Order: sequence, then structure tokens, then C-alpha cells
Amino acid sequence: MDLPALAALELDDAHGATHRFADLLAERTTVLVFLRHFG
Amino acid sequence: MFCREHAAQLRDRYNEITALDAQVVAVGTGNPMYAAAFVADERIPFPVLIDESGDAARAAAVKGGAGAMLKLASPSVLRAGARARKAGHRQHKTGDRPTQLGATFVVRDGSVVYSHVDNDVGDHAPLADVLAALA
Repeated sequence: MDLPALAALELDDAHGATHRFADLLAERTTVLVFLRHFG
Repeated sequence: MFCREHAAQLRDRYNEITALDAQVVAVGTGNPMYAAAFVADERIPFPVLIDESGDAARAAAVKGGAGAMLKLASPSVLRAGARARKAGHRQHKTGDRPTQLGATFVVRDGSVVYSHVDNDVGDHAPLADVLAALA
């Protein structure tokens, strides 16, 4: 896990809102789950 | 099907997770339409982010590639499929990057304090281990 590289990324959520990992991970302890796909 | 199983497990324990002052953030492949349907179908209460480029998956060093597909008929995957079907999960249309596997991390104060990188499509982080990492 390259946490600094991840923290630099921004992704949209399923509702179109943009999230910056650095902000998400700073909020509180985070269970970060990579799903294989949405199938 | 397997990703839905894991997401549903987290959904079902979501109150326990938030009671430990933690949050869940999911990252999936695919596109917004897939993701929105997934969130609605599975009643997912936490953010589901869409990693269309694969940059997040690369940063997390999740496994994948042709080797993941070769394991689809392995005994462990067949057992996991039976487990997921018994729990009511069904395979839906496959999204983008179907060879990418999953992973679960617990990140606290800028450090990864728990890591489970899936070895095959039916492999998930045991929820008991995740909750223990949060305690």
C-alpha cells in the first residue's frame, strides 16, 4: 500500500460527489475496502 | 457476487464499526451507473468510490491479472461461491477490470494497521479480524 499515492487521489462516489482520499483518511479510522467489481 | 457478499457483511456490521469511531470507504471498478445500482441493490450505507482509472487499486497494490482468472475453478473459490449463493448473493453483470481482486485495509492516523490483500475472488478479510483491528 502506497498511502501517500492513494492520499493524493480524488475519486467520485456513486452519487457523483468527489472525495479526496487525504480528507477521507484524516477524518477517522477507516476501513478501506477494495471491491473486485460491482457484479 | 463475491464483492457483494463482502460489502453486505460490512453493511451488516456497519453499526459496530461506526460505534468504534471508524468509517467504511469502499472502492470499486466500473462506472457510476454500475456503482449506483450496486449501492441501491445492496443498501450500502457507506461511500462507494469509483476507481475507473485503476490508480487507487495500483496504489493499494491489490492483486489481479490472468492468474486470478485461473483460480476461478479452484476448490477454495468453488467453496466460496457456494457460501455466497447460500447467503443469497447472485452474480450480476461483470464490471470493468474483472481480473482485479479485492483487499481490505484499516488506516489509522496515517498508517495502515491492518491489511488483507485477497488471494482469489472468494477470499475476503475476516470481519472478526477487521473489527479486532478497530478495537
